Amino acid sequence: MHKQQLIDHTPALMRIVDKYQDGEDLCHFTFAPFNEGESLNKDEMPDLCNINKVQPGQFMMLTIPNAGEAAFTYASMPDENGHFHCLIRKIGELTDALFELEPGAMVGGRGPMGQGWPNLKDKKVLVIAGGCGLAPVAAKVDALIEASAEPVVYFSARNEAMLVMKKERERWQEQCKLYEAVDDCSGASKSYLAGRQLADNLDQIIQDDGPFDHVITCGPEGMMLAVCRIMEGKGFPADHIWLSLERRMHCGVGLCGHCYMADHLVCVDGPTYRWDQLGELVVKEKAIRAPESPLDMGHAASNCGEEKEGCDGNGGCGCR
Amino acid sequence: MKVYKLERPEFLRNWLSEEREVFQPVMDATGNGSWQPIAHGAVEEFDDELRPLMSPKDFFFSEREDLFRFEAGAENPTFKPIIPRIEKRVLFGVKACDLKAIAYQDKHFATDPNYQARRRQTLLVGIDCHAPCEGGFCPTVDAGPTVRDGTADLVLIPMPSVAGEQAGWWLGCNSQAGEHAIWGMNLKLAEEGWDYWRKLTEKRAKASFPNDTQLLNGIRRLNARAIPDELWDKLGIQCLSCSGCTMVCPSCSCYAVEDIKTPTGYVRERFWDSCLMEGFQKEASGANPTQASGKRVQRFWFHKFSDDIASRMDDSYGCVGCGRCEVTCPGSIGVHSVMEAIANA
Ligand SMILES: Cc1cc2nc3c(=O)[nH]c(=O)nc-3n(C[C@H](O)[C@H](O)[C@H](O)COP(=O)(O)OP(=O)(O)OC[C@H]3O[C@@H](n4cnc5c(N)ncnc54)[C@H](O)[C@@H]3O)c2cc1C
Ligand code: SF4
Ligand code: SF4
Ligand code: FES
Repeated sequence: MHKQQLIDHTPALMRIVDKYQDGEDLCHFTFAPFNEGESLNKDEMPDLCNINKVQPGQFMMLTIPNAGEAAFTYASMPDENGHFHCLIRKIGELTDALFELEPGAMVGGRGPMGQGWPNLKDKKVLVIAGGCGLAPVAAKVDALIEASAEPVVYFSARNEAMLVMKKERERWQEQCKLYEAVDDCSGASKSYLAGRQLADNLDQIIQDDGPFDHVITCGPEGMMLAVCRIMEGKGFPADHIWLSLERRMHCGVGLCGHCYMADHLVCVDGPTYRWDQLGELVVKEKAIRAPESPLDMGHAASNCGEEKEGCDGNGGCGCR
Repeated sequence: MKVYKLERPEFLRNWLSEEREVFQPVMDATGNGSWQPIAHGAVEEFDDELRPLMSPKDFFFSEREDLFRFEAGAENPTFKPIIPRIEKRVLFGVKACDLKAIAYQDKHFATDPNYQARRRQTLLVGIDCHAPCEGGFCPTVDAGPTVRDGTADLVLIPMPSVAGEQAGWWLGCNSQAGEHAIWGMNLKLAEEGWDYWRKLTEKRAKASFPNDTQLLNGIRRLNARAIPDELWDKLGIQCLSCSGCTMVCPSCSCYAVEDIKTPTGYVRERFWDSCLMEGFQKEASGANPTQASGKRVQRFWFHKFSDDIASRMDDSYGCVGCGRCEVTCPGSIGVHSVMEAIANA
């Protein structure tokens, strides 16, 4: 029989210590260990709040008593006291219940889970985020800034109101190069790049700030796909492009089977992937036929993304 | 493997039941058979052919169980794990296919505390098949008909029958736990030559399995990704999403969780889920990578026969050739029908 270290399905106690609105139907939450006041020593710090155990790009499973459990990405690494942030969209029962909670309320958490972003600390990195996809890359941007790697960040959203993580972006304005784009500029308070002109924008950025060693991207699958194709079209190597996937998750530890993609379980093998690895997975799920049927990324590519009509922008098709 | 002579399986069962709870296949009113406890001293005969419709997977990966308890309380809320407390027990007379499936689940659930709490308390007594069961194809996936090494603690090996008379049994001892369990039974060691006869029995059994060309070709085509989406879609139409196959399949392991209120808090339950259900991968945003039922049927068979998945599972396929899905499927897309369709796609 295989004897391995057993995992624990039981959440650790946490508290919400701060909460503020950060975009339409979006809130920025700060979580902390439940007993932090009572001189929590290092050994008692739950892993998911432990600065030494979490990596940018990982996620945790948040439990709201009586409302269930769901996956959320670390939008910042835990600090010395175990405080960390998540950017959370109100979208269903669990998140409805979460949005009702006020600072001081108790919640549960398990983690950290999944594979974080690669290190890349001595590399020139272009970070491309769309909508809520900024959250999973934010902690990486901070880590790169801290390592003096001078990342360049491109962030686009549907409209000005959906430009999330305002505080972080204000800080980044000082610390690194940040480009902002919106799809719908009407009524905007200042001028932005045109979000729908992704290819042109990337051309410009590469010309001004390039060349880049690596690209990290996170956003709706349709957008990530477009980024990967544009970059590959420029001859950028597929194994230097990184992205993060979202799948339904019930366990986060490779047991429940919900997050499968070909022979992978995204919760443990992902959620971050190299574009060439992911390409392989996509192929594995398909019949291999004549090349006139191009690769696509499943649901998102067929009903979401730059070029498609019929997307109401409300996320019903999986776009964010 | 150390091998002893054993007159009757019932002697062993009775010996083991002195200190452990023993379960064996028993024919019941449903006609499907089930795993039932046999009391110490019971005279109930051991049916060496019966293999219940439900595999013993529920003994380890429980159909429904609590994972933890939450106690509310403003000052002192707590989450407490619920790990099952299991007395020592024995599964008596498990066939090679089901044992292979248990080994597969052992690997999948290697880190699961609830699974392991059950598994570590359970002694497995396997039994070699000397003839094919109906619908079974264990040799095709290297799961049977004789018990594979390392999958059981003790193995009941039928001696070759002489003119239809069961001559008696050998008892193979495959693990330390098995050795300890029979310590004191004073069994005589088997004479040399038992393995010659065991292999001969296996050869004879294998020779009587039906032609499995369709299965082999199906597996090859599936791994060559040569199956057009249209065929999956067609099979998808025949799938009623009843989840019967995933329930009876001994190697299916998917689950979902649900929180159940208690007077003072709640418990989180997990229960068997099925990748054939429409909502299995549906995300809160409404996006669903496997909305089309053909994609879900494809997933099921990919999970069973993919070389990629096998390479992550000690080179074992997720299908152990028991044939149960064929018996249970109301839409006639069990393993034989699907593999035949695929082989000819
Ligand atoms: C790796 C990962 C990271 C994520 N990071 C973030 C983040 O930083 N911010 C954010 O706002 N959202 C994030 N999500 C999405 C978030 O998990 C879902 O929006 C959330 O599950 C919605 O739950 P709900 O109960 O409010 O929705 P409901 O529609 O009420 O969900 C009902 C049930 O479906 C399950 N479910 C549905 N979709 C998902 C899903 N995608 N993942 C897990 N369970 C699901 C839930 O467990 C729940 O029990 C992430 C998802 C993944 C997989
Ligand atoms: S797929 Fe069918 S034949 Fe194979 S192990 Fe599962 S139930 Fe048995
Ligand atoms: S599938 Fe093979 S091992 Fe399983 S019961 Fe049938 S003959 Fe025996
Ligand atoms: S979330 Fe359960 S296996 Fe990935």
